Amino acid sequence: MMRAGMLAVLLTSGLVFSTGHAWAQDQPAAQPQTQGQAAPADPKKEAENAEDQAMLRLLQEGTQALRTGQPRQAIASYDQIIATYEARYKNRKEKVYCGSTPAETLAYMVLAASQKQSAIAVAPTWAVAYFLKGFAQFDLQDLPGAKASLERARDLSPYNPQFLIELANLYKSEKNWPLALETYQAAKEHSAAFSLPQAKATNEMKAQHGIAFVYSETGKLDEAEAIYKQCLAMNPQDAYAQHELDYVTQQKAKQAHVH
Amino acid sequence: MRGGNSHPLPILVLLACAACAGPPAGETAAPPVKVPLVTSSLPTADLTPDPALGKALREGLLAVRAGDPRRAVNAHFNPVINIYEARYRAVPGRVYCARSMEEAARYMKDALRAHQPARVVEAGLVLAYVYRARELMILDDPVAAQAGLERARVLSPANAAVLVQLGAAYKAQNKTPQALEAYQAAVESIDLSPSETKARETIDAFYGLGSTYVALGRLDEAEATYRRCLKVLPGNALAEMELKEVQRQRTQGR
Repeated sequence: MMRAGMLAVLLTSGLVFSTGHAWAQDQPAAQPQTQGQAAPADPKKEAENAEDQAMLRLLQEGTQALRTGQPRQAIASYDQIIATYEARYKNRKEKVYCGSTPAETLAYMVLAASQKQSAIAVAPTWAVAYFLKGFAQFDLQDLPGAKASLERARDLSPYNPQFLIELANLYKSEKNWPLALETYQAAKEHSAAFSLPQAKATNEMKAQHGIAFVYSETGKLDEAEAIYKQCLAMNPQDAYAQHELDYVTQQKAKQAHVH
Repeated sequence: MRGGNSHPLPILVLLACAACAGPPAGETAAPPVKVPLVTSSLPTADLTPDPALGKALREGLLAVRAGDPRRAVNAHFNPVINIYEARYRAVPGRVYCARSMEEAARYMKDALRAHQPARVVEAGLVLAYVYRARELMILDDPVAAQAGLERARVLSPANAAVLVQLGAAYKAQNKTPQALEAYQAAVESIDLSPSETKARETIDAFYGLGSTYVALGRLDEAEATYRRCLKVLPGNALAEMELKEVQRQRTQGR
C-alpha cells in the first residue's frame, strides 16, 4: 500500500514542486514577524533562499533515485535536507510547521494561536523529505524507520492529508486499529481543506476506504457497509469499495447464519 | 502502461505507408530497394494483451507494494519473463514489443527497411523487465537489472521507460558514457510514449540527460537539454530550476 501511495504523490500530486518558490521565506507567525517581509539585501536571508533552492534540487534528486529503485541514494539526499533544516531551526523557540498550501499554513498559525504558542511556517521541503524518506525506508523493509519518518513528517505538517493517509496505512499494516482509525479520520477531516486540488478526490477516497477497512476488521460491519456504499454512490467504478462491500456483505450473512 | 488492443487493419495501412516511406530527414538517401513481395516476410503486429500474464504482473506489483522486492522478482516477475520469452522464442524473425500502435508502426518500418521478418507484440514482457529492474536495483543488483533492461531495449528500442531505467542502471554503476547514450535515446523516443505516461517519461528522460551532462561538466549541452525540455513542457518547474542551476554553475566557473 505504501508504494502505491508514493506513486500517487510523485506522479499526480506535484507536491515536490507545487510550493517551493512561494515559500522561500518564512511565513507570518502567530506573533507577526518582520523577517519574512520583503527586506532588501539581507545576506542571511539570501543565503537561506539559495540553500532552499539547493534543497529543492536535492529533493528532486532523491525522488529520481527512488523512482529508479535506488532507495539508499534517495535516503542520502533526504538526510542532507533534513540535517540542513534541523540545523537551521534547532535554536528557534517557536513551533515550526511546514505548509504545502496557504490554507494549510494559515491553519497552523491559527492552531498555534489557539494554543497560545508562537509558531512559524516554512517551505514544505523539510517535511516532504521525511515523508519520502519513509517510502525509501519502506523499500528497504525498514518499517520502524519508515514509521518514525512518517510520524516526523506528520508532526511538521499535522493537517497534510497525504502524510496522514500514508501514516494510517502503516498503522493499518501493523494492525494498530485505534491509531489507524484516528489517523484516517484526521485525513478525511483535512482532505477537503488542505489537499492539493489534483489530489483532493483521491485523498478523500483513500481516507474513506481506510476508515471502512478498520471498521470491517473490528467488527463494525454496518458502519463499514455504509461507507463503502457512500464511496460507490460517489464513484460507481470504485472497484476497491465494491470488492470490500462484497466481503462485508458475506461477513454479515455468515453472522446472520450463526445467530 | 500496457498498450492497447489488437488492431490488424490499421497496421496494414501503416505498413503500406511505411513501405512507401523514404529515409528519415538527415539520413543519406539509399538506392531504391525492392520491398520483398513474399507475404510471410512482412512484419505483423498484434498488441492483444495476455490477460493471465497481465494478472501475474499485477500480482507482482502487489508484492512490490507490500515492500517485498525479493518475492516480487522471484515469485512473479521472473516467471512472467520466462513464460513470455519461451513463447517468443518460437516466433520466426525478430520480436518487438510495443505499447502503442505508433510504436508498433515504428518497429514495423524498421523491420521493413532491414528486410527482416518481424512480429510486434504487446509490451507485457518489457514491462516485466522494467518492474524487475527496479526491484533488482533495490536489492543492490544493478548488473542483473542492466542485463534485463538491455534485453528489453532489444525488444523495444524506442520505449522511453526502458531507456530511462537503463540510464539509471548504468549511472548507478558509474558507466556514465553508456548512461548518456541511453538517456539520449530516451529523449529521442518520448514522442512514442503513451499519452498517460508521456509527461512523466519526458521529464525523466530530459532530467536524466541534463543531470548526466552536468555530472560530466558539459554545461552548454545541459542547458540546451533543459531548454529543449521547456519547449516540450513549457513552464516545467524542474527544468526551470535545473536551468537556473546550470547558469549558476557556469557563472561560478568563470
